[in-house]
Amino acid sequence: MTPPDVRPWLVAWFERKGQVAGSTLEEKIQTDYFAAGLIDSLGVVSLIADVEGAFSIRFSDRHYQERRFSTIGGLAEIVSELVAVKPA
Amino acid sequence: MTLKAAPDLLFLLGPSGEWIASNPMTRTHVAASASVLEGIRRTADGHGPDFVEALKGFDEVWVEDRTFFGCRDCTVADATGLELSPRPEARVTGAEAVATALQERFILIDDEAAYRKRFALKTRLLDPEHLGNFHQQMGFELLMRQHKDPEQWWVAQKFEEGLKTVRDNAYRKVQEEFLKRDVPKWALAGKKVLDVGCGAGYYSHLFASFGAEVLGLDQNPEHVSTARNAFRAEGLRFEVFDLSDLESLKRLGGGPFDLIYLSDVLLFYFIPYQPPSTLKGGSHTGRPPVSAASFLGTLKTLLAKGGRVRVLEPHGSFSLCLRYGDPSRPLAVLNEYRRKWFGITPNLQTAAQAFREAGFAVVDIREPVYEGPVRDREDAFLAEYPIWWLFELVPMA
Repeated sequence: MTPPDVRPWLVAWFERKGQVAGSTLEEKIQTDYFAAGLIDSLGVVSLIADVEGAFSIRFSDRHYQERRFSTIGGLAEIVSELVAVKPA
Repeated sequence: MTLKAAPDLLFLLGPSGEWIASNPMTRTHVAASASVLEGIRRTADGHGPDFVEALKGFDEVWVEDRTFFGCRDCTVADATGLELSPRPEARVTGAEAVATALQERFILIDDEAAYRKRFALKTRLLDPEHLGNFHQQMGFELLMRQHKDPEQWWVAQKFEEGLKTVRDNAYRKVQEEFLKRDVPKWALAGKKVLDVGCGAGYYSHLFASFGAEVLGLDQNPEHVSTARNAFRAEGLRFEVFDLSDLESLKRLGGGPFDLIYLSDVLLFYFIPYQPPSTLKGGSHTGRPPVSAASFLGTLKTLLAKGGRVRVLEPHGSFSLCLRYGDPSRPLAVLNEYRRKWFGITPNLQTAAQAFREAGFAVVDIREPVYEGPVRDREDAFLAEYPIWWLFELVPMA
């Protein structure tokens, strides 16, 4: 289950990079941000640094191997899972 | 899900007497208890017992990941990615966890067709379906794990701060030592030299120190700026130049040149082409959209009468090959030669064909190796196997 604050945070992050297709949050989180050209390779580095900083989490190689990592909604799920297991 | 052994495995005895299961195709490795190896053997053909079932009754069931990206500190380091030292923090125990770890490291697979499809270029930075070539894996390592700008890292892994010396790795032990021995024989005094893809200008400066008038070209403005700041000498200059723009290259001023030198440049003209969108961020996944032969053919028009081209490139066999064996008896494992998916260099026939199509004859081939005292495993390998080769070319009559 994705906490409600992760998805809008990510959509807002990507909207600072460019137009995210869709009119609702549910539509926007379907976006494959690579295919949409919202970020390039160096942009991924910024994304990871910003997300890890904002949610106090660390991604691992295993996460980068997941198909989910390429869409806003999938990324939000991964972030939420990491937040859920984060030590208090 | 039925697991079976990947079809490409090697089993080694590690330096501490531990078993190592190694997949040289994926460059992934694990140390494992003998029971795990027995489990792999029993499931080798996919028709035996389930892997987890096969491990029932064994007391000691563990694997320890011994994989790392071998070139994480230097592009010309050992690309095998095998960590020989124990890594107890990477140890997992229990049949289920071991099965997962072995799958993640391609020692066990569940679908051979899907496994074989992995040996292809990545279509983008995060492409879990494909392993990608060396440059793509290098880009992944730098961007995703080290969070570094590949362009800045490239200079830093080759040169000490301020570009005064080459780092004490294969760049110094083999490439620089070879050039220091050989360049004095090139009789450069008073000659015009074009250093194509000069990078940070280190070797342009070396040529100028022997009295040559040198023009260094590089398409990366940061490298050219670095070169201009680091190296000033009479007759030495650097320019930003798009090396895929052959029409502009034909009209390059400052020639004709007695020597055209390329170091670690030509390989980019052989790498399978990827759309420019995948090249962003310096991840170097593809070649410029011109062929090596047409690029070299254009350079030929810039040569003075009697001029020649020297091409020092990563070796078509031993660059990025896997290194196994004892330090006293280094063992090179070639897991690809003609149809490369990880390596980024042409083999001898492909290189020779490009030279011939460009109108050049090869008058010399050199295979520099490390000639200093052998102190460790890397030295031993570099002393035995050339990881660069140099072609000397002259225009055919």
